[in-house]
Amino acid sequence: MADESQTNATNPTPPATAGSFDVFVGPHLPVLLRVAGSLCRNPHDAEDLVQDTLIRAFKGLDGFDGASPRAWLLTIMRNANMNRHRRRRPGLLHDTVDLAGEVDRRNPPAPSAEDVAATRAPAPWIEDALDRLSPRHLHVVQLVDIDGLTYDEAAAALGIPAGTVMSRLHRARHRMRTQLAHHPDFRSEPR
Amino acid sequence: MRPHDMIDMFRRKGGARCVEVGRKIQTYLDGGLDPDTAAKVSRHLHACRRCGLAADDFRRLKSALAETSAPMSAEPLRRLQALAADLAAGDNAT
Repeated sequence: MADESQTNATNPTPPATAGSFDVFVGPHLPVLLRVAGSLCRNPHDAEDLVQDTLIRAFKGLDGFDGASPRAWLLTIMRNANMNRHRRRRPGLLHDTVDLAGEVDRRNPPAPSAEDVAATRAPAPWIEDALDRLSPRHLHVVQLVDIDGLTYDEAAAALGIPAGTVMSRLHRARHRMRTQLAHHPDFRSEPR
Repeated sequence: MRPHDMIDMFRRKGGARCVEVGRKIQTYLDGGLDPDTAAKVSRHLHACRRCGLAADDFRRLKSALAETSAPMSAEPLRRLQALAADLAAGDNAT
């Protein structure tokens, strides 16, 4: 219980310099690729998006104040993703949530055989509950509860306030809990 | 909700009322509360069966969601790390 009251810890990040750029971004690459996988329709686009993000981050390194590197990288990724959408669909620039991309949980990056062997299949009831969420709610659940971002990092990735992330996330979980209340695999055991 | 349950929600258990804790359970489970408030919520969750069960539900939900995380292939990560190294070495035409 005690650890639940602690703020999510992140690994210490080395200082951002051009010569140590790879050391600086290295710890964040898995998260960036995972979030890109949530924002893009296929794994190739996700990898391209992270590549764009790295190049933009390298170019903007001088202007980075050193605080919250993962949120900084996620903000760059969001802007890179917006530019990609703008190039492909110039008429659709009004809804920032749409610009954040489409959640495509059914088409994740292809795993290796080792990865598959190390991962359990998700329960069907949780997949059903996710499928019933609106896109806005699914976005925040995907980024926070599945990809492991903090509220602030999810806010940076989506371009919305952290308070909005929190309210959408709480509402989404509340709906899922209500929907699953009578499911035999989810129901609370009597205490 | 039955009238008895409504009244029960305003009773103080473990130093806090259900109506106060109910709004904070998810933030508590996400680690977003200050230490004093987190301790108060924790005491209430141990003292109140209804709120304790709600917290159990949200814990179970969060755990199940974390398990849906798709496995990630190592190969794209290696390529991205190589790109970062190239940028650091000044080998990439940007």
